[in-house]
Amino acid sequence: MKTKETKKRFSRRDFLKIGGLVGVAAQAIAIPALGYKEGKSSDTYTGWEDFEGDTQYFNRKPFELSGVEELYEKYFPIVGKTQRPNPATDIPPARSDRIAAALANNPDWTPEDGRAALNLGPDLDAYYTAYEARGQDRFATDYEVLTVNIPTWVANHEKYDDHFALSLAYFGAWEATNGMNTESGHVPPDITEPPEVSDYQYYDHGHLVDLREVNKAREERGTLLKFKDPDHAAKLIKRIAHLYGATVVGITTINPDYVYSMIRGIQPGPEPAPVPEHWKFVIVLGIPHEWDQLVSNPQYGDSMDAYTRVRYAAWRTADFLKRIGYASRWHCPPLDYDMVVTPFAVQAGLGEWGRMGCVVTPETGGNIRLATITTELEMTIDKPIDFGVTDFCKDCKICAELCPSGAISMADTPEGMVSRGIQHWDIDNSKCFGFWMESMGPLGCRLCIAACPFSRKDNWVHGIARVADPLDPTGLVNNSLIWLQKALFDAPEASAYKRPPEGCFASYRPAPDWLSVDTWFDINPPDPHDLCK
Amino acid sequence: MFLGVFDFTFVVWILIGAVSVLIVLGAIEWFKDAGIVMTWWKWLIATIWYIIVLMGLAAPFTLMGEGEGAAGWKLLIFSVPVLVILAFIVLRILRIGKTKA
Repeated sequence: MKTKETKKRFSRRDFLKIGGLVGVAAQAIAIPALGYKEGKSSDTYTGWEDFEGDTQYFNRKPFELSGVEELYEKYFPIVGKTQRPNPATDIPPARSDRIAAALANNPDWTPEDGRAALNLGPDLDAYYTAYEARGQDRFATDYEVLTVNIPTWVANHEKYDDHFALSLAYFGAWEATNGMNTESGHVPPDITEPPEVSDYQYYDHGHLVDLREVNKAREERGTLLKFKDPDHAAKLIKRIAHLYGATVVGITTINPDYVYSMIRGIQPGPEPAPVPEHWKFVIVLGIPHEWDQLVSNPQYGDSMDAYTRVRYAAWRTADFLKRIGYASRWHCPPLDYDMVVTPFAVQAGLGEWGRMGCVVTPETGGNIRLATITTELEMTIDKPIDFGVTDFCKDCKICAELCPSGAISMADTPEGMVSRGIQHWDIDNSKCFGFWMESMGPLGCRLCIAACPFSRKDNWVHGIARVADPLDPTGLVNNSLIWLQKALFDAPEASAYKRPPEGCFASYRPAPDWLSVDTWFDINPPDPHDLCK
Repeated sequence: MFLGVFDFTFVVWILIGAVSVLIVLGAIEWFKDAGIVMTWWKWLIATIWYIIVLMGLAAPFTLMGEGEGAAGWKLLIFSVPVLVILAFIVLRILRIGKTKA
């Protein structure tokens, strides 16, 4: 027979009290486990998880500026005579090639003879002179890169490339599918006709078709594909671009200040090639790098995954536009493009111009590669945004602190940094390219975009930071995030990424297992890191 | 995936919801035993504290999951003392207007 006391020992109240404690213990285990799972989730790899457009999830509306005019007035003031960019002077490998050619013509030249004695050409001389006036001896850097960095880089690669065999193979295959590693040339093929021809043509089952003829026939049938209004046009094109793989898509108008002086298909002359009249609107597409390879830069990562994907997305979108009757041309760095793409992404509200010279988007941070499509199709344009990057960059400086080449400015503001008449953050691309010719593995660096605090994966922890920062007008969140970023996320210091003796080919993070030969093979190739042991 | 068949996460969240009910019912009894008189604002404070605790535990492990193990451990070492101090502060607030048990 049970006593009264025995019954009390297991009352309903006791059950709830003990059950509550067990529940707390269960949650204390389950919630961290779910957090860990969330951290690993493929859903956090924005741009690498689906093609349905959910990748562009950030609500830009509250952060929109009134328009492109406000963008240039407030953020990128025009402080001098604007000048279109010239690929023969503004792109470092082009300068390097020109110096090499000049040295071949002047084999007895020494630096003591002075730059003028090399006869580099009036445009390149003017370029170097302009930067010398700003205290940057870009010629000296370019010359050193050519005569010191590149020969050392070639020797190091010959010796150590087997250590990077998986990186080189993985990115080599991405390159192969845009034609960089094949005999057949670029894919899609190089554009060799002027915009007035090529932008109106496409291949259909092996036949070259002129869309003007197709439009004429459609008009006669009463089926010309004229959009109901620019809103419908913008909506459809964005949907199609997402389906072709674009992570983010924006639309803006053409700005001739950022169209190169040389345009594909037009014979270069003394004057800049005219900007075609039918280039009225610019569609900007962005796709990030795979995130684990990105953080293994500057030694194991590469740009070709994102560039190849965005190239194909732009090619397909331009081709789609032609097939529905609208003249279009795709542009994609680093191979085939007629415009500097970053300013158009900023104009189209995809993000803001970061200290490191790249666009920083709310979804992917600095981890984004861009392509554009110039078209005659009238679409509703997007407004530029300010979600706090400009202010954040002024205080953060992580990219500048880690940059092994010192190419990124440590200044508090971009004041005084004027490129072709427009003031904005500027990088010393001679120094930047100089480090490309130091790093191992695939070509390039990308450390600045890997280390950018906005480039973190899309999980709830970083999501809260991304939302809280732009909503806080006091700057408290901004300062706290910068402090947390520096306190929590360790990184090798700038010199560690360089070649010995200054550094030892450090990476921001170790290579992911799928890019590490040690994980998969019982081989022991020469490891450049052994140089420092 | 669970047993290679479906994503188990959804079921875990359902279970967490069910367990939360049990935690609230248990908390009511614990507060009664301790002589703590709960008002709506005390429940609000206690709930916010509990959510902060859960987030404070989940955040470091999320960082570990994304491959930032060092950052995760640093955050955990930083957040546990903060959560304990918060717990004492919240308990002091809950004891306002306490009756004899």
